[in-house]
Amino acid sequence: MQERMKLPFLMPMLIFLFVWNILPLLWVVGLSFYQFSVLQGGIPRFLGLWNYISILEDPYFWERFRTTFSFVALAVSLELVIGFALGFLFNQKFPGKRIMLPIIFAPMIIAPVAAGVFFRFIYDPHWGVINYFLTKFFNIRLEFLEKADLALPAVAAVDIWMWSPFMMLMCLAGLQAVPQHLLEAAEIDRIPWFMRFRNIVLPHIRPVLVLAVLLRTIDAFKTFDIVFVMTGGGPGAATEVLPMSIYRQAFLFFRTGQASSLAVIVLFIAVAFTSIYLMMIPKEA
Amino acid sequence: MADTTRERGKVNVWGVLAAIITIAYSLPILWLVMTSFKSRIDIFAVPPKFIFRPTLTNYIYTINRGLFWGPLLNSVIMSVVSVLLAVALTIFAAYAISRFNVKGSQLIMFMVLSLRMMPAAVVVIPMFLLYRLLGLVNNYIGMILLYAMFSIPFSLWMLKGFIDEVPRQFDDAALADGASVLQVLRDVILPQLGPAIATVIIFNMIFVWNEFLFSYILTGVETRTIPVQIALGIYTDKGVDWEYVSALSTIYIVPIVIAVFALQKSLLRGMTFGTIRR
Amino acid sequence: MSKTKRNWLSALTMAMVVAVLASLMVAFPIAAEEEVTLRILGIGGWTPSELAVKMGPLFSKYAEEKLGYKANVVADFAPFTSLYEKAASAFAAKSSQYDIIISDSQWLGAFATGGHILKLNDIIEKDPALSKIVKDIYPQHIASYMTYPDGSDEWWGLPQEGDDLVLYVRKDLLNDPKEQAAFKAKYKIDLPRTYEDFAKLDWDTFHKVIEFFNRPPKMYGFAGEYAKEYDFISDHVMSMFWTWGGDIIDTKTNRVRGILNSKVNAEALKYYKDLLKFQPPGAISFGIDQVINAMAQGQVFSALTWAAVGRPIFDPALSKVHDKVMVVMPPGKILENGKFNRIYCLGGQPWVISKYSKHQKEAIDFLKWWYLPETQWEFARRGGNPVVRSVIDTEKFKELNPWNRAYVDMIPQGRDFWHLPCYAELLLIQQEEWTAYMSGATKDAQTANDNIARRQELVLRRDGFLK
Repeated sequence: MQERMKLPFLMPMLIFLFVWNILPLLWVVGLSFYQFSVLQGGIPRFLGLWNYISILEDPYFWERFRTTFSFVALAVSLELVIGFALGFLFNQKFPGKRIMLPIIFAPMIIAPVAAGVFFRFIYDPHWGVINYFLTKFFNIRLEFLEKADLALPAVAAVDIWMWSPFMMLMCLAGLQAVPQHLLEAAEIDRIPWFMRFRNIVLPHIRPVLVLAVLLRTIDAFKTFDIVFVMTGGGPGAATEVLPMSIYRQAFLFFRTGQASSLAVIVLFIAVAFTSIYLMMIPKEA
Repeated sequence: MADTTRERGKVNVWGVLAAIITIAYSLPILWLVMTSFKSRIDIFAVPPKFIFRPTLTNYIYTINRGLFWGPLLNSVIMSVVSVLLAVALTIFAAYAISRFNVKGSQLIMFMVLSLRMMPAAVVVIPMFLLYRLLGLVNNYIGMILLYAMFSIPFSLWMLKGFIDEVPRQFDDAALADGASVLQVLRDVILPQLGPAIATVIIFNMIFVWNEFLFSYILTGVETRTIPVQIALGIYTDKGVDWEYVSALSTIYIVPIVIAVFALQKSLLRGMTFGTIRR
Repeated sequence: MSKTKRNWLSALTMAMVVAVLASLMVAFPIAAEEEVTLRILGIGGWTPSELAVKMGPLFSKYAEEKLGYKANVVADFAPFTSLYEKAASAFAAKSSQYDIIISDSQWLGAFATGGHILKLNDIIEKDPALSKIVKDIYPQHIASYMTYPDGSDEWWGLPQEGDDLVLYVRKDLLNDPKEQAAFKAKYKIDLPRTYEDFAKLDWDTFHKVIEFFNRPPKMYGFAGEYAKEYDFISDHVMSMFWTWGGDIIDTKTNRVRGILNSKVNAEALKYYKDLLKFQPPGAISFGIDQVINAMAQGQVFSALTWAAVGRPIFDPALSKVHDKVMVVMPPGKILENGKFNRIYCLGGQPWVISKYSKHQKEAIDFLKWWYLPETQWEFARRGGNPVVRSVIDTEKFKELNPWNRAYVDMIPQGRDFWHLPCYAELLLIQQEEWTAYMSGATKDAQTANDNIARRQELVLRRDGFLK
């Protein structure tokens, strides 16, 4: 009887999604087979698979891929380690936690643009506060965003600062699921801490951590704002991550057709990530 | 007895360590806020000044430099209206998916989630094509609809999760009393969801508030939001305008920092798209 | 169903209604506009663009008195790094939000072929005042700021400001007898002191000067642009190439190979990199703004940058050295054939009228007003660089601001680069490869230039400019 409300309930959202998102996405898929520029206008010229072939043959595309991958690997692995450590620390009992936690969580929801712009100031080789301490205590001066091998880690550091708390949050959630009586029993039996960790703690927090790593991987893969405001992909192409590259194709070179085929490739990657993510959601949660 | 003192001693070590880390962690934000209260000479001082005479000039200057109230108001209106719109739309859909036997509900949830997983740099291309066609670039309604659309995935996942948690017996009892589905939704489900909806709204608002790329590409002067203004307003003819950037960023992140305190309990659930429900 | 919960619900509904109404009100303003508002998209942080808007009230007055309507000039600014994206995406969306756009000369091709800007030939020919103005502009300015395709007589923009690279030096140090004696003792030559000394100066000698005044950490010898953003490093590197006797492209065939990656260019590129050792920390990411800062804060002895940024350097409120600086022509190079060669990048911007503007007539009025002699003089007085020869070729103009003489003298030695629609891609390739070389990712100069030649030819061939 009430099933008759199904359509009226679902349709507004679905129609909106379809017109506002699915349709344009299909348009992009279509455009990816054409040569077209929204700036130059004119009639799109059919190219077949040429856009895709030229992307896959372009060594610079693979280099951007590698840059993106290094960024993701660096950021997510360090976030995991730092978040893990913080999680264990904040799992202990001590006063003042209620005030400390929100302060640590705050970077997570700060606008990446604001954080990026401001870290440029903090990193500055001349006025920057980090270099002030570096010169004072170690007598070195690092050009964080200016040197080819430092720029990517320096940008990743901002991401790490922003997102380690997320790993910590997930880690805390996992730790709370660890049965306390097992730990106590193990302690009485004088089982070494790393054995306790491996056999009791790890199995309980693993599903949450897998999810956390996956979610962070997806988000780090999307990183655009910080790079855009901090380095613009430079120096050279040291921080030129894939989204940056797509953005340039679309809104600097206005090669809309080519940008569309890049977009379609990334679309597939995103869909793949989504499927993996859904598979990893812990069943009991 | 001895055991508890040892425990207490431990407690303090952890606490002190945590306090130190917390302070260290907040330093970048602290430095930003401090900078916003410095004069230009102090901002560019070498070595950096840690103790200085605070001044409000940067704020007065920022407000008067132009394009302050406009973008601020835009940020507020867009985040509020678009999110309310999205929540209003998704609440029905979430209920339908949670309660009815919807064919393809798995597919809907999957599609919606992939939308969230795509980089903005990719999605902005179709949106630009669409808005160029409809003449919605630099248009209020356009921006609100856009952000509403991008608030749907999160809202749907969260709301469906929350509705799943409301026991079905409540619905059945009301239905047996002769209530219509709409009445059930309004009188039984919604009241249960109060705090949940608030969480969804705040989270979505933060996403919209922080969003940069869509606003950068699709807005004009009239519809510009604050993050874009931070990126575009960084230079003036005196060089990099750190006074402006620091003051504007500080104003901009204050609501966000307040939001973290408000969201403490639901942070985990929100950040994982409602897939972890503790 | 408790009462509080109902209240909560109705509050939420109310909030939604109010929010929607509020947004509708903002979206459709009720105000009946009698006043014409001209919106100019200009370059943030760029004195000439900001002056165009600061002088807006003068146009309002003029329009009311002479043209009989109320007009109001407002601005939107985007920094060099994002101006092209802002302008081009507004054009691509056919948005009417900007009436006039201050465009860089290289963008004319992209905007003109896309049909986004008004062609000005008819407008100029029909208007005696504008025709007279155009006859009063240097041919190379017409070629760079107005014309696309190169060599044609199709005009798409008018020069908003003219500009070229000039050298800012600390005259207080150059005129110090103790410094002069020490320099003479060290290098056995006289320290250049006057404008005329610098006019004959070559890089070999200037290199000694900056080495001499390089006294870190208090003061460094030099500052130039090295940033990846927009065209910052390209302008300077190309200037070095041209001055060294090289070039970047064969403008007839659009051939790059063998021209950009010549031996002499590699030498010039390496020379420009080696100058970094006389520059403050972080110089490797200096753009225009950072160079202004370094000079104005007294951090460097000399700076190679645009004549357009003279105003902040000579402004007592912004500059610690406002009374200690002299502006001269940048050094040249003595080529192998013994010829003194000095060719630097041309700066400056045309403005263009948007085809989607709802106030094209008023925009043309505005441009006519801009080229009135009194407006041009007012622009010059406020620190801008006009291009009209009856203004700039006068002794009065050259004496007006400290940088004016060098600006005018450099015009014949300025050179512009591609106006092709694929300019953005060509530029990014250079920015990427040259900053990769500066930052140490690419080990030698020849490789960087080889990469550019190869990649640029791919783009040119793809778009059919290279056969």
